[in-house]
Amino acid sequence: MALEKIVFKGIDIPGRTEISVYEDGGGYAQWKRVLSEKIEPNELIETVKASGLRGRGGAGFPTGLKWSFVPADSPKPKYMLCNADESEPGTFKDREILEKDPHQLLEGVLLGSYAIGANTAYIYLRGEFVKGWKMVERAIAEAREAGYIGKNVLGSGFDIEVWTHRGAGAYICGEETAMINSLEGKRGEPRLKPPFPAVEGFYKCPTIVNNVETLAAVPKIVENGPEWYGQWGTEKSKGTKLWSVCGHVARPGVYEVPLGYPAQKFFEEDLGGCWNGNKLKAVIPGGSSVFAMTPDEFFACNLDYESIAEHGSMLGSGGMIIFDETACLVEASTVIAHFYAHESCGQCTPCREGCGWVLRMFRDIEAGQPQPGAKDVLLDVMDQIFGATICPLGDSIVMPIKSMMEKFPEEFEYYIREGKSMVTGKTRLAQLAQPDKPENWRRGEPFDYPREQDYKTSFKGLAHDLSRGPEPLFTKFEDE
Amino acid sequence: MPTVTIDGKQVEVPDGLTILWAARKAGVNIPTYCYYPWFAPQGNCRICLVEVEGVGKLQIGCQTPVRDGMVVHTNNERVFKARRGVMEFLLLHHPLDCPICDQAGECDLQDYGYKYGFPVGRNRHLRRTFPKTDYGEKISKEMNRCIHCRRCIRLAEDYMGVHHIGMLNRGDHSEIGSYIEAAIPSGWAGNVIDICPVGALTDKKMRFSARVWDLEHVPARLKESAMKDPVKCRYGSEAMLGLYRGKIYRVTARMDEHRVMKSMICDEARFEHYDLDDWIIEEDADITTPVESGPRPARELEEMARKELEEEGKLNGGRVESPPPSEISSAPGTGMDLGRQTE
Ligand SMILES: Cc1cc2nc3c(=O)[nH]c(=O)nc-3n(C[C@H](O)[C@H](O)[C@H](O)COP(=O)(O)O)c2cc1C
Ligand code: SF4
Ligand code: SF4
Ligand code: FES
Repeated sequence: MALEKIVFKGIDIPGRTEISVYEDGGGYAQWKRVLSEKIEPNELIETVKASGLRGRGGAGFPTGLKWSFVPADSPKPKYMLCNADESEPGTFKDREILEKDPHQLLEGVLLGSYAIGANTAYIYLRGEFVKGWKMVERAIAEAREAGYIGKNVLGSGFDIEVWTHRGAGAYICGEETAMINSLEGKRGEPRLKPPFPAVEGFYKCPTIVNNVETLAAVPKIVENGPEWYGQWGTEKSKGTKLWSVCGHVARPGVYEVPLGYPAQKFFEEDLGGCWNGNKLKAVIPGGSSVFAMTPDEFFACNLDYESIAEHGSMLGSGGMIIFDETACLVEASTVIAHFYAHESCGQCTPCREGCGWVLRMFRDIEAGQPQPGAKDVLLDVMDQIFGATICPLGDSIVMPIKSMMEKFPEEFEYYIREGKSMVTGKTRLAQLAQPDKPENWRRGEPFDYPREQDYKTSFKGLAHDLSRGPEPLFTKFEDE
Repeated sequence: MPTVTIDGKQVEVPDGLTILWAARKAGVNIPTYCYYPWFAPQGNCRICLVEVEGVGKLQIGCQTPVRDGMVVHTNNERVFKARRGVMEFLLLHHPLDCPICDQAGECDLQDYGYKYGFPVGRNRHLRRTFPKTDYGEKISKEMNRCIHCRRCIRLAEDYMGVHHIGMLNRGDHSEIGSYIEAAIPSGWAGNVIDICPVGALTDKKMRFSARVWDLEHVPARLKESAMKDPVKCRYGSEAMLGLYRGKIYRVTARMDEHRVMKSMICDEARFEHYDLDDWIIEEDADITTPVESGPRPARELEEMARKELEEEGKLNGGRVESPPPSEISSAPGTGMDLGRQTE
C-alpha cells in the first residue's frame, strides 16, 4: 500500500483550476457517469457509507450515514451546504483545496447534491478567502458553461444550481446551524439541536452540511469504489486526512497522510521536528479547540480518530499546532482565550460571560496582578462553562486551556506567583513596553494588544489595586 | 403516555411534553429565564439545566422532551453547581442596584439569586457598562441589568410584528437595542416591560414612585366609555392594577404564578388610564392557572376588534386613528415562520 494522495492528488498539476486541465485528469467523469447511467441516489449514499468516509470538519460523523438521514420522501426542497468557513486557529487545509483545486470540490458538491436529492447547493466561504472565493466562482462559471450545472444537466432531467456565499468574519458561522442562520440572513447563532439540519435545516428544509475536505474526497470514492478508499486508514477511520501543521515546526504546511499514520514518524520524518532543533513541548492536534497533548502522549498515538481520543485529545479539524520549549503556555492560553472571547456569539450565558472572564483573568496574570487563588478560580470557571452551552464553542475554550493547565501546572503556577514567564523570563508588560522589538510581537502584528474595539462599549480593563504598584501600562489604551 | 420520574416522584405525562412541564405537573419547580410559554424554547440562559440519568451532559429542561422511563434529577449537587455557575455568570456584570430598581420584589434574578447565587463575588474586574438609552418616553431601558434572555425581542417580532429591537454586537458586549435608538413603533410596546424578567426594561411612569410589594394588585378591565382607541383596547385592556392607598401606581398585564403574562395589554391601557373611574374591577378573574401557550398576535387582535366594532357600528368616522397593523412578513428569513411558534 503505497502512500497515495486522494484529496491532494491533482493539486500540484499546473493549471488545475481550469476546467480543461481538470477534465484531462478525469475530472467530471463521475458526474457525467452518474447522470448518464442514472445511478440511484441511494446507491451513491451506500457507496459513501461503505467507504467509511467521516466528516473532516471537526466532529468526524460518518458522511454516508448523515446523508441517509435526509428524508427521501419529504416534499420540501433539500439543500446541500458546503462548509468552507474555515476559521479554526491552526487550520488551513480547506483553503488549499479552494484555491488550487476548486473543480474537485465542485464535483463533490454536485455528487453530494445528487445523492441527497438537492437542487440547490451553497458554498459558504470564509469572508477573508478572497482568492478562494474567486477560484470557486470561476470554477462554477466554467462548469455552468460546460453544462455541468444548470437546468436539466446533460439531458438527465436533474436540476442543480450552485451558489457561493461569503461570510462576514465570524468563526461561529462555521458551526453548521449558525451557518444556516447566517445564510438565511439572520444573526449567525447556533440553533438548538435536535432537530438536526438533515431533518430541519435551511429554511426548515432537510439540509446537509459538509466540510470542503469531506466533499473533495467524494469524487475519488465514486470513481474507485469504497474498497479502494478503505485500503488506507484503520478499521474505523478510513482514508486519508489533511493535516495543516503550524507553530514551531521545521516544515509547516498541509500534508495528506493516511489515517492511522504514526504520529512520531509524521513528526520526525515528514515535519522534520521542531524548528532549530528545539525540543517539543506540547501539541494541539486538531485545531485550537481540542485538548493539548504532551510529547509522550503525542508520540504514542497514531493519527486517527480513535487513537488520538485514546491518548487524551481529539482529531478535530486536523489543524496541528506545535509548541516547542520556547513557547510560554500562559501566553498561548491568553491568545486562545482572546480568540474565543472575541468569537462567542453571545447567545448562551456560560460562554458569553465566561469566555470574557477567563480572558480578563489571564490578562491579570500576564500583568502580574492575579487575583488570590487565580488558578483555582480559573479552573472552576472553566468547569462552569464546560458542557453547559448550546454549541461546542463553550467547550472549545475550556479544552485547550484546561488541559495545558493540568499538564503543565508549574508554568501557570510560576507565572501567577512570580508575575513573569517561566520560559522566557519576561513579563508581558515588559514586552509591551518595547513594541518595536519583533520578538515581542504577537500574531505577527506589532503592539496590537489589547485591541481597542474589545473595549468599545464596555470594559475599562483591569480593576486596579493601587497597593500593587503602578498602574499597568496598557490601561491607557482602555480608557476612552 | 410516558411515565417519568422527577426527583423521585413518578408522573404520567402526555407525549412530547418538556421536562419543565412534566416537573411542574409533579410539583417540582425548575427555574427559567429565557423560557416563556408564548415562544418556542430558545435555550440560551441555561438556568434550567437538569440531570437526566444515562445522558452525559446536563440537559435543558425547557426544551428536552420527556421519554418513557426517564429519570430526572433537578436538585442534586451537580445540577446545583451548574445553576450556581450560570447565576454567577449572569451576575458577573450586574450592577446589583436592587435598592433603586423598580423590578425588585418581582425579579427572577433576585429570586434565583437567593437560591443559587454565590455567597461571595469572585469577579475582580470592573463591570461592563452600557450607556443608557431608553425606548422612547414610556419605557426605561437599563442594559446593565439585562440578562440577554431575548424575551423582549421575541415578543416584539412574534406578537407585535415589529423588527425594531434586536441584539447588537456579539459576545459579552452584546446588548439589546433598537436600530436607531428609537421608541418601539407599536401600540403594544409596553409589553416588553412585563416580559422582561429583570429590571432591564421598566415602566418610566412608575419609576421610583412605589415598591411593588406595597402595591395591592387587582385585576381590572377598561370601561368602554374610557377607551380612546377601542381597536386596541377592546382586547388589550385585561389588565392588573397596582394600587396603593386607592391610587393607581401602575398597570400591568395579568400574570400567572410563574410570572407569565395571560395576554398582552395595549399601551393606552398601560400608560394612560391612571384614574380608577376608568376601570371595571374584575375580582374573580382567573390569575392562577399556568399559561401554556401564547395569545393571538397584536395584529390579529386589532383586526378582530376592528371587525366587531364595525359590526356594532361603533367605528364612528375618524375616531379610530390607530395606524394600520404592522405587517408581519412571512417571507423566508424574517424570523416569523421559522422556528418560532405563534398561535
Ligand atoms: C464553533 C464551531 C466552529 C466550526 N467551524 C467549522 C469550520 O470552520 N469548518 C467546518 O468545516 N466545520 C466547522 N465546524 C463543524 C461543523 O459544525 C460541522 O460539524 C461540519 O461542517 C460538518 O461537516 P463534516 O460532516 O463534513 O465534518 C464547526 C463547529 C463548531 C462547533
Ligand atoms: S456556546 Fe457560545 S458560541 Fe455557542 S451558542 Fe453559546 S454563546 Fe454562542
Ligand atoms: S431586556 Fe429584559 S427581556 Fe430583553 S433580553 Fe434583556 S433581560 Fe431579557
Ligand atoms: S429556561 Fe431553559 S435555557 Fe433558559
